[in-house]
Amino acid sequence: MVGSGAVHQAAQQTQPAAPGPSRRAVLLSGAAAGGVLLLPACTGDDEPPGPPPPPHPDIVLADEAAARERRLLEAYDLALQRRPDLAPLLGALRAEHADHVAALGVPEVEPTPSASLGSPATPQAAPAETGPAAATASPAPPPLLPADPAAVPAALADLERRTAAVHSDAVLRAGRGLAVVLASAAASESSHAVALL
Amino acid sequence: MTAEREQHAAEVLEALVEAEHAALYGYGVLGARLDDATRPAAQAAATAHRAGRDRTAAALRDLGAEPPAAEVAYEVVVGGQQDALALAVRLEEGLAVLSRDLVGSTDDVALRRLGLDGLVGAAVRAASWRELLGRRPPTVALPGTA
Repeated sequence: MVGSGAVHQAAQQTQPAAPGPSRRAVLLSGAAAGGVLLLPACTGDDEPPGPPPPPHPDIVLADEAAARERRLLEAYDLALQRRPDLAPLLGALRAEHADHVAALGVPEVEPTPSASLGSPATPQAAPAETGPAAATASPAPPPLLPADPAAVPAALADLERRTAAVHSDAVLRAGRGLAVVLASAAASESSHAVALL
Repeated sequence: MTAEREQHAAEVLEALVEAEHAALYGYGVLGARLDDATRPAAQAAATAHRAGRDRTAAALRDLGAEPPAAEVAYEVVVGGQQDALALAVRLEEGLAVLSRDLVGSTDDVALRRLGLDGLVGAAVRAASWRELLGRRPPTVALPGTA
């Protein structure tokens, strides 16, 4: 796919060789290694001759899934502050999300507002309700738990279910190797929702 | 190519039908060892496995294979309530492994969905049974992995 596009492009621009594809290949391999999504550089001329070579879909899906898992880690950190009495359960469930991140092949980073992938900085400790529209778009807003400690488990369970739903959608689009990891993560999160209620 | 690709899926589906047959039998036996408060959960699980078996058998027929029939009886020994709960956990864990195998054995969206539904259902039920067994946490990080 990349090769034929490169041939097409080179023919149109009558350049001896197109440096673009190899550069994209380097970017893609970097993305694979670091889990960072980079967009391919555009040549800046007229309309590209064909569809631009997309980053490997599984890299995108894995990165998105890892971002969702990090939001859950963040939510659990918040929950642990608000419900220290539930520390054994919350800590154990949080550890399973850390396992999901590891299984997705993306190194775990400490949750800070600036570290999330392209998502805007948010008032992390704001005592707001979670928006129910979050499950539709991939860059869903970060988790905001209710201020009322009594409402924290149900809010976490809701977040788990919504994450499982988005993971499940990705299962159907991923390559086989990634699909099983996403499926296990979705199953784990569905069972977390049960454990929290 | 397609037939070759779905060959593995068909083998997993066959194993899943057999496992669902066994789970149905198992829940019938273990349900009788549960107290009144817990037995309805076993009955609900059996209903879910009956539906899963039928769906899996239908998928296998769609691939041109005849689903395996149930054995006349299975070797199941259940003492009391704890035994029964532990057996329920094992049944669900076994189905989770096969369901995850199905997800990884095919690119067909309907079969993926079937495997995913089986994996999620088994993980949720296993967690509920572990909860009753007093295991904390009742969940596992990656259901369907050994």
